[in-house]
Order: sequence, then structure tokens, then C-alpha cells
Amino acid sequence: METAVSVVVDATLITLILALAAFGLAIIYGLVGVINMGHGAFLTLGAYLTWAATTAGVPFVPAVLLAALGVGLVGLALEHLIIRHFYDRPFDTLLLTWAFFLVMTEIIKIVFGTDFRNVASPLAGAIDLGTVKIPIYRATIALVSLALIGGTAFVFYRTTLGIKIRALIQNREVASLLGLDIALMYKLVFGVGACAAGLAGGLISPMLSVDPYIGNVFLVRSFFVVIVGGVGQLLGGTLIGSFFIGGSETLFALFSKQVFAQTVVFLLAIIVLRFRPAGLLRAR
Amino acid sequence: MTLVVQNVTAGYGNITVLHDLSLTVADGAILGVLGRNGMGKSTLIRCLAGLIIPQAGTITLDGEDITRLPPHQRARRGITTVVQGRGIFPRLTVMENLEMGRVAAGGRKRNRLDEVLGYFPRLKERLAQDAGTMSGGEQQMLAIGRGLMTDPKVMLLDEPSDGIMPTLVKQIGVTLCEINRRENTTIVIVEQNVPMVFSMAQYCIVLEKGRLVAEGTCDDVSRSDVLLEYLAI
Repeated sequence: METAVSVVVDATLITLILALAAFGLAIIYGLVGVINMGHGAFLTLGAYLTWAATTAGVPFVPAVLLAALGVGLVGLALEHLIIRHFYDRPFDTLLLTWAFFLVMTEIIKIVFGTDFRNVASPLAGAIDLGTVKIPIYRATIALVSLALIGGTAFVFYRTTLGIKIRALIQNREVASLLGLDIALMYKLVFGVGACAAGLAGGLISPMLSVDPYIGNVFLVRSFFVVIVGGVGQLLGGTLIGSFFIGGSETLFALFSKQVFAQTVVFLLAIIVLRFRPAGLLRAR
Repeated sequence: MTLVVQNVTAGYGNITVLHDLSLTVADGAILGVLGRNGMGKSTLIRCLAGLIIPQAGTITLDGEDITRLPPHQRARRGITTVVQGRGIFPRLTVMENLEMGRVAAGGRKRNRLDEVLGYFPRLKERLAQDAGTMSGGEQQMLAIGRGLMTDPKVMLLDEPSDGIMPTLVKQIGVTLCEINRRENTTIVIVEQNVPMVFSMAQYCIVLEKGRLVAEGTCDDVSRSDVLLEYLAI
């Protein structure tokens, strides 16, 4: 019983943390169709900017917000200078964002060095549920992830901006004929996606050692999350994909080694995509 | 608003579809564009809407050169386009489709929902329904209604009768005439349904291989040999 509760708690936390990490990618890939290989660099940059700000004495929460803003601005610059010229060429944007990842990783190494950096957790301790203890910080991050997804759901389904974005995904040409400035909307979405990735990088930084490749840990998993959940299925897709990739790994790890559990999950993901190429939550 | 097309040549890549086309649509007029399949009718609409930038020539709206303006800028100047196949947003509700017409361009536009539902009462019953689940005729009403929500001065319609029951086609034609009469909206309608065009438009042109081969009042065109020669009617 104790083990079952522990596994359920772990699976839930990992699902929500992975959802947070993948959310920026889900926005950029799902809404503007850019296979953003630079997502890992956005996460890494968010982590480093948070480390730099906290080291300079900025409290953790403002530091993370500043980091998210900074990464958002870098994302906007990338979109404005390069990506906007290639929106209808997915393979080109894949290569360009991969190039961005390589360049940004080298810049991070030059600026911050290659040593491991640590960001102190702002919330120490654990919540004791009797049979299981939940680290307070992890629980908080999981709640932030839920709030982020819930907030996005609100914007999507309850605001005029949400109507514009959903219309844009469904028929870009007609949206422009109604007066929507497509270039501006794409810029906004790309910037918000980068900002979300920066926020995730900042929030994850106290849980891992920060190094120039911290984003890589999440890049491949984030892609699996988005593809298995369903590209464009921003809310339910991200949650279901995160559970499939992150949560189920925890369940499998109960019966086997971690590496074997990861292998099983990725194999299952491939099988799922064989039969549901549009993802588990395919577009209605 | 008066729409003037002067010596426009346009096409796709290296393929030229429209050749040196000139026409004027007077403020508040309804112009019918006739022609067989592949003669350049839809290309003309796409040029006017801003989806294709002409290789040569100019397009002006009330004297302002809009030749190189992107579609959203033209929409903000009062041009709305109802594309062939209707182009509704299938996974938005009817209400959200209409709202998109009002808010897409940003800024504060007057809410014309009541007027639009007055023109198309059938939409009133379906406001909460996903637009993709409606019949073709209802979707066409929605596409026109959504265009009206932009508060247009010029309405471009590409084959509005395409795939719709004849009774609904007639009803849509009558409603478009009512919109034109009440709001002085300039209308350019591209159609293969010649009776529909003749029942609505004051003037029409006939395109053949991207060239204007006949123009005049609908009465003149209907009495000439043009219909037999170019439309096989």
C-alpha cells in the first residue's frame, strides 16, 4: 500500500514537472508548427539566468520571472531575425533551431563556464503524508505546472485572444482575410513559448545541477510528450503525453531498472505513434 | 467604396493567369464575375483580397493604392472575403466564428451580432454548435455572417453557391441583395451559377483565359452571344 501511494505521488509529480518542461515546445511546435530544436537551449538559458540572478542576490521568484522574460526576449529576437522568414519550411526551421541550440550552448559555456552550478531550493522540507513524504518544492512546481496549463486553458477558451489563436491554427489564410495580423500573432506565440521554456528552466534549476546541457535532459522527452499527446493538443495532449512518458516510466521502474523502464516507455511511444500517428488526443 | 483594377497581370510563380485586366466596381454596386473553370475568376478574387500580389498593374480602393497591402491590412480598410469552400473554422463554435470576425483586426468594432442574426436567423439556433457540424448551406451563411461582423464596405465572394442546395442558394442570393441595399456594401461575386449572378448583380464581366472578353449590364450580357460563346449556355 505504502509503495502504491508512493508510486502514484511520484508519477503525478513527474508528469506535471515534465508537462512544465514540455509546455514551451508544445506551444511553439503545436501552434506555429516550428519543430523547435532550440527548446533545450531555452530551458538551459532559463536555468542559468535564474542562477545568475539568485547569485546576484535577487530573490528566487523574481529571479525566475526575470529569467523567463530574458528567454522570451531571446526567443522573440530569434523569431524576428530568422524564423519568421521560414515558417512554411519545416525542415529549414528544424535545422535553424538546431543551429540556434548549438550556438546558444557555446555562448552559455563562454559566459557561464562549464562547471556545475547549484540554485538553492527556496522551499526546503517535505510534506509528511504518513506513508509518503512529498518534497515541498516539487509539489509547488507541480502546482505551478497545473496553474500554467489551467491559465492557458482559460486564455484559450474564454478570451478573444484564444479565439484568434484557435482560428489561426485551423485556417491561417482565412484568419488573415478577417484582419488578423498573422506575422504579429506568430511572433507573440513564439515569444510566449520561449518564455514558458525559460520559466520551466528556472523552476527546474533547484532540482538539478545546472550545466550547459541541462536542457538536453528534457528535449527528447518533451518531443515525445508533444507527439504522443498530439501536436496542437496544447492542454490535454501535454498532460496525457507527460503522463505517458514521465508518469508511466515511474510505474515501470517499480518492476525493473530505470534504464529498462525508459526503454519500455519509448518503445510503447513508438507503438502508439504507429497506430495513432496524430497522437493520443488527435484533433477532433 | 469604389474598387478600381487597372491593367493587372497576376498568377502563381511563373504561370500568369490574369492578363492586363482592368475593371471598376462603383460604390454600392454588385459586380458578377462569370467564366468557366480555370479562367481566372478565383485568381481575381485572391488578387483583390491580397492573397496574390499582382506582377503588374494597380488596385485602388477609394483612390488609395492597395496593390501591395497584405490581406489583414485590406480587411482593416473594409474588404472582407468569403472564400470558395467557405473557410469556416470547424472546431470553433458558430458564436466564436462570428466573434472572430469582430475581433480579428483588433481595435473596437461595433458588435453587429443582432444584425447578422437578423440576416441569417438560422444561425441563432446554432450559436453553441461546432461550425464544422453544420450543413454546407448553414456554413455558407456563417461565412457571410462572419464577414459581415468585420463591418465591411466591400464584400468579395468566391463561388458562394458551390455545393449548396438550390433553395438555399436562392435564399443566400436574396440576403446578399438585402445587405447590399441596406448597407450600400459593394459586392464582387465570382460564380459559375449564372442565374444567381443575373438575379443579384447590376453589372457583370466574363473572363476567358484570364482576359476580360465581355462586360456590361447583366441584361446586355444575357442578350448577347457571350453566354453561348464563352459559357456554353
